[in-house]
Amino acid sequence: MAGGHPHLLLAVVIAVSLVATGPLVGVDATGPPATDFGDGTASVSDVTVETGELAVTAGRFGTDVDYLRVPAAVVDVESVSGRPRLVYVVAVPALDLSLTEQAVLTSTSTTRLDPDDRGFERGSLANESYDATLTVRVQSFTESTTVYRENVTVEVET
Amino acid sequence: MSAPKSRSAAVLDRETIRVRARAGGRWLFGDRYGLVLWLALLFTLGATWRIGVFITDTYATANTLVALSQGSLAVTEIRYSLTLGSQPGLHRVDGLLYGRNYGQLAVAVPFVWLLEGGSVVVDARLLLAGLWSGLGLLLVDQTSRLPAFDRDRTLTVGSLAVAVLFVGTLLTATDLPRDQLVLAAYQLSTLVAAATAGLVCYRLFTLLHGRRVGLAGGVALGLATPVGFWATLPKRHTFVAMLALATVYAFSVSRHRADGRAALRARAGAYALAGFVTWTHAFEAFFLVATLGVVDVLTARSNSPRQLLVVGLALLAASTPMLATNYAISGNPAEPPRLLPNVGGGEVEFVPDNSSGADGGSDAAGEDSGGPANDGETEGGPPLLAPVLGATAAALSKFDTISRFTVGAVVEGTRVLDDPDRLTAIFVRSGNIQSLNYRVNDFETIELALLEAMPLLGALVAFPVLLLGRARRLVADARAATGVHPGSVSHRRLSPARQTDLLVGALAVVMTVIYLSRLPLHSMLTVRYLHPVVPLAVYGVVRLPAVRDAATRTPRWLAGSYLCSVALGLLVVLGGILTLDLAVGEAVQYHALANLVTATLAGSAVVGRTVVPDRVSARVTAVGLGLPAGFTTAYVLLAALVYFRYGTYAFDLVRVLAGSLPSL
Repeated sequence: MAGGHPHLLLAVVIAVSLVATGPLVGVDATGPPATDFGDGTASVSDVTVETGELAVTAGRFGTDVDYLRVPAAVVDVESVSGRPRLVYVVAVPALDLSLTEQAVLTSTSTTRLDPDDRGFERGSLANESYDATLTVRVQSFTESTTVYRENVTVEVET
Repeated sequence: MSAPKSRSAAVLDRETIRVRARAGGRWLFGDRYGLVLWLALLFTLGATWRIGVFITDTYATANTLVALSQGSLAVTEIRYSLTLGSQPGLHRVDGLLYGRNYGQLAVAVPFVWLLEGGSVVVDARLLLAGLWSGLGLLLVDQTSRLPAFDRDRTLTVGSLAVAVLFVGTLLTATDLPRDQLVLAAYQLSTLVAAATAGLVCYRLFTLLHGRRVGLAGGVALGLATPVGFWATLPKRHTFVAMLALATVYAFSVSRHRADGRAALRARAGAYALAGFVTWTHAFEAFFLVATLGVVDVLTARSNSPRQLLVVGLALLAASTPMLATNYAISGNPAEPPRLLPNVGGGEVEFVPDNSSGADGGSDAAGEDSGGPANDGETEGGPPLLAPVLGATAAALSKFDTISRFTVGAVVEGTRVLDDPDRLTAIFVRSGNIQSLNYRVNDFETIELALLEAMPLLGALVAFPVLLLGRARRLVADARAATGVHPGSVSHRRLSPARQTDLLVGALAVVMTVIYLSRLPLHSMLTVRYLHPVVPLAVYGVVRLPAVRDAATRTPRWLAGSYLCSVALGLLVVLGGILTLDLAVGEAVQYHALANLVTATLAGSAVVGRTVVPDRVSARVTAVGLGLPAGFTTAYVLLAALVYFRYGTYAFDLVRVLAGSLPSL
């Protein structure tokens, strides 16, 4: 059947694997959702954040808004057990602002956490600078450990 | 004796089935190229599908679909919700909650049954992967049967590619809760509508200009316009745009057919397709049907009572589901759910103000809008006529609101025409539009003008040049031939193509003007209220002789320049994101500016070819058209992979690939 018809052979293989991994047969082939974390922990050897990049600057290309530019946190993960996650928070209390980026850890790696820059109406930030706190935490159902914390002054450069 | 007989009967049956299937396939797709185009659009547009809610109104309609798939018009379960409690777009009648866009939802119901039924045997996530792979194999099989392809080689290479995709998807697959399948089915239904719009485009242009132009037009609509952007976002726009284009196609067929019965069938089909829109959005349907009616009656070969009766019955039959749904919900066949009191959430969509006076600051959602209370009027009538009389009286009571609303939309819309700044913001350049409330999207300037979202429109600048040339020739001819006035050509004697032009032009103007008073508006992204105009605009581009020339004489240059432009677009924008560290709004505006450059190049190439065809070759036009098309495809891809994040990717392999792209 499949001699000149590789597509038919493939169709059969796909159909069989779908049924085999389905609820009736029960071979589990899917992992937890990429954003789901659980028990476990991770040890972090290094966290790098270019804090000098944290500033409010004018938006470009006709956007005509101001942006709080948020630097990425690059986290070297030495070991992982279970399914913990990294949480990077950039908080500016005076603006009631907390920008967060998360990543679930499943293996040792260098993980880059890069929250979106945050837009503001042009000229709406009254101060010349704001205090911000940058933290990186390892978080799971069983623990929450802060592995990086830095207080930074955000200059408004618009 | 009986065994051979039954065997031959079975063979005959199989043969009959095959013949009928082929006839059905031909009726639907036209030919194998149409089928391949449809499958290819489904496959490619489906690749970046994200299961989730992008615009908050979708919660209400998705919950309505949950109910409808279980046989109830009223929402019985809030399965999808941003927050607990009410959500924008629900309407309350007699203590029950209703959604809207029931026609679009009714079409999505079989998809719900397909996915929920399939998930009994197959894991929900892998069911989607299986459908995608199956679609890929069907595409490979059908493509291999086209004359230009080596069947064996295509089957081998294509099957290998599908195998890689399936295995990759299987190995990276994550759990998808079964309760997400209704939302997935809803998205699948608009994906099918988007691919079908491409197919209708192919059939319309093939009818007018042959297969090459048909294929170019179909691909352009699907991949190089906002139709690709909205394909898996389950709003009404793609659905209405597809039906509006199908209306044009049926109208065009009715003008091309010499056989009177076939022409009448197509003419009735046009009214049925336009009438069916009433079930989804009565306001848009009203203008679609009215414009069709005017152009059709003015240009038809015959308006005999029999012809008008047939088209009238077709329109009535297509509107019946809408009338029945309205009657079942409010007791008034002329009162669609949009006119009913809102439940919380505020104004989220284009709906009339239910309050009778001017802006009195009253909460329109809380107003009693009439409903089924007509006891006094129906009591005295005969029992069988009572419901009909009651419904008619209730319908008439709504005509005032409806007529004020529709006339108001046209009048207010035409007023916008003398506001150049506003028109520029809607059609040409967005940037930061002063009148828009960007707060709702965290001040991200993600609202594009129409030309930025669809730079192929740049080619339309050749139209005035073309028309001027034609007008000059017409006047010169008229002067040469004594007694013939240039304006004396009867509209009934226009060629089928010219009559189709007339309908498309009228529809494009009407469907634009009725929304102008509401634009620009936040969360439009690609000026989505004008979405039904997008296929009509593609029609306009394709009708330009210089564009057709590029598609028929230099198809390889057109395809090659398009593919190179997709790569160039991705390179330019991803390079910009990486080197300039762009925020979301900046990336979208950066892409918009790049699109405007390509629109200018396309316009220049097409005008050049139109004015000085000796100096500007068809190849230059092909490259000029490939650029905006490629950059738009890049926008559609990056919107799904980089710019906008929501929900989960339907296929985890794409999630993994997207994770390796630069983030904003």
